Amino acid sequence: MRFEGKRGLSLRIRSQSDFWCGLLFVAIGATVLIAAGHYRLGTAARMGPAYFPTLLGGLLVFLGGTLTIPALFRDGEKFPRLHLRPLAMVLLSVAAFGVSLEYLGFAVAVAVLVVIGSLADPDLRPAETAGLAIFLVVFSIAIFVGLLGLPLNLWPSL
Amino acid sequence: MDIVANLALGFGVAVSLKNLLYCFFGVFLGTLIGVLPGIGPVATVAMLLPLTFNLDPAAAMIMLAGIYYGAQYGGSTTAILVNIPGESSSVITTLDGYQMARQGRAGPALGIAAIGSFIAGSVATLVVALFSPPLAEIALKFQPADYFSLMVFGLVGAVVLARGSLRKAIAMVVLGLMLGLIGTDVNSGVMRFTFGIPALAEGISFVALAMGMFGIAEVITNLEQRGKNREVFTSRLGSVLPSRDDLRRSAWSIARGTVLGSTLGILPGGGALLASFAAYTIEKKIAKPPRNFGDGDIRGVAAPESANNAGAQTSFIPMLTLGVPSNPTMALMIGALMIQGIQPGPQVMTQRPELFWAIVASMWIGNLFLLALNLPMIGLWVRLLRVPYRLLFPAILVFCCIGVFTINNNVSDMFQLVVFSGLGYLLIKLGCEPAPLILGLVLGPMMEEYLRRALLISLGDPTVLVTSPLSLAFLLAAAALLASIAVPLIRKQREAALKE
Repeated sequence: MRFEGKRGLSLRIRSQSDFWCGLLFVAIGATVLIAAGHYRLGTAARMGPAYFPTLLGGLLVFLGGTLTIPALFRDGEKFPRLHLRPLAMVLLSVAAFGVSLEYLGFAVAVAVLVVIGSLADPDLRPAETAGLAIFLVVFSIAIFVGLLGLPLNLWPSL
Repeated sequence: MDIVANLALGFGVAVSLKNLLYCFFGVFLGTLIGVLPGIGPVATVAMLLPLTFNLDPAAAMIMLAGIYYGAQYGGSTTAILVNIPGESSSVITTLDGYQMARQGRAGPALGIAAIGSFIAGSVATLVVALFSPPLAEIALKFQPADYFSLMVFGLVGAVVLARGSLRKAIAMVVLGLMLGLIGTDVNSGVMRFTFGIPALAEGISFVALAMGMFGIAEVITNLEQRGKNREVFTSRLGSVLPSRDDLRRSAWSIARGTVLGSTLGILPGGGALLASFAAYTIEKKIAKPPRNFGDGDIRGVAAPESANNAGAQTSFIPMLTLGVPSNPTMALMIGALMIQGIQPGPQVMTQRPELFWAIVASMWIGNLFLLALNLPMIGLWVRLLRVPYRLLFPAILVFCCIGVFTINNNVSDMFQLVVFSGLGYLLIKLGCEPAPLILGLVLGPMMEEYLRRALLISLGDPTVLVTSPLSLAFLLAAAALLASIAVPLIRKQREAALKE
């Protein structure tokens, strides 16, 4: 590890986690700076809508840089392993809940959420999931609609 | 004595059958959700927020305070029994609490946590009652520049206490501030950073962001760690009541934890987390005989648990008197007040004294319920912890989604939830803690407004931030905080203390 003295211009990323994290912040900051260009900047005494965002955007680009640039020279953590199955299934289930709620009503939406969400776990047991879905549909209708009287459309509106 | 009359007023409002019931259900539901592994107070409060929409402001705040304490205690229960802290402030409890559980002393550990929390909570409630009125009076004299610098101080506090890289924490604050600016600019009416999405005109849904980063991102991270088996020590709970010897030995630890927690809780960014870490560190140094901390010493549970409850209590002070949240949970409380049509700040105490003092009184009542409810009900929580995670996590998802949707009854909030869950997961994976971001989000619009006003008054001269004595004091304090962790020795200690 120590034996890397004269390697000249090799641009190896030493700390992948910091490098990409910093780059993410730089990208977000730069987006804000560019988007803020569409609004009036104003002066310090009369701050326009772009004034504060421009300050913050510049600061974020700078902070991102302080993460990314040293990451080229200092050893650090590797890029973390992302587990795609739980991530994709959980996000999908939440999105599906939103869409079903609009068109199919609350009861179906909860069932959809439970079924798709359960796919996030490799240790899936279909019968158990079905039972859980039925239980949670009944339970949440009883609590949120029955007991609390929240205005939710229970069934498909068509 | 003013304070007696004030507390009498507060108890008069809080002690109605209806409000006591709400407080009771708040504590019960808060503990119930808080016991779920990986669900801390922020997610719990966000999830249960819709329950309070139809209540009057006093009842709503009383119930929310109950939920908060319940969730906090639920987190400690999980820390002791399963070695999974519900949130960062019970991380330290896992050290000795879980060891006690392994030695078959889970009962006394849970008991001393409840007793210590109650004592600490009672003292801290008194601190809130004593210090809020003078502080609110000072706050009424704050100029815009002072408010701006106070918020800078608060954000620096949150940054210093975040785990991991300092640069990442600062970047998270700035990112949060920027997210807070999305939506219609109050001054010019311009829609900023909405990228043509009409649903963003009102800004980002705070609850969607908090729930995404603290609730759903946490579920995803938990699901990846399924390989690691978690051992639940529930077979031998033992008596919940600590022995006389336990009590004698923990008495001073509880006292020290209470004092430390009440003090540190007032600091912005402080609250329960800093309090529990500091209490444990000090206990380890001065407790005699210096027994086996880390091997199940009851004082290692008593001190941090008292401290985090005291800190949770006194962190209400900046929220109630200045309208400035010191941690994400308080940010949610501010959101809840605004939903009720109340703008938090020093004027609440003078304009709505009955509400203010009812909240203070309900703190103590909430703590009483916590003790009365949890000692007999620990068996129930234990049974809940035996339910496998594959059955729990879909239920958590359902509650998270319903919680977010019912805030505005708006499907577009669900898509915000998807985006922030994904972003939260990525950021957590990259070693960025979400707490500073959430504080930034809440303070973003306020900071911009106060900076605008300060500079308007000074005709654009930024030195107004250092010529006002109060503002200068806040900025110096912020600089001192930042400088203190740049000093190698202190930095090393911070890293040691914040490492699990």
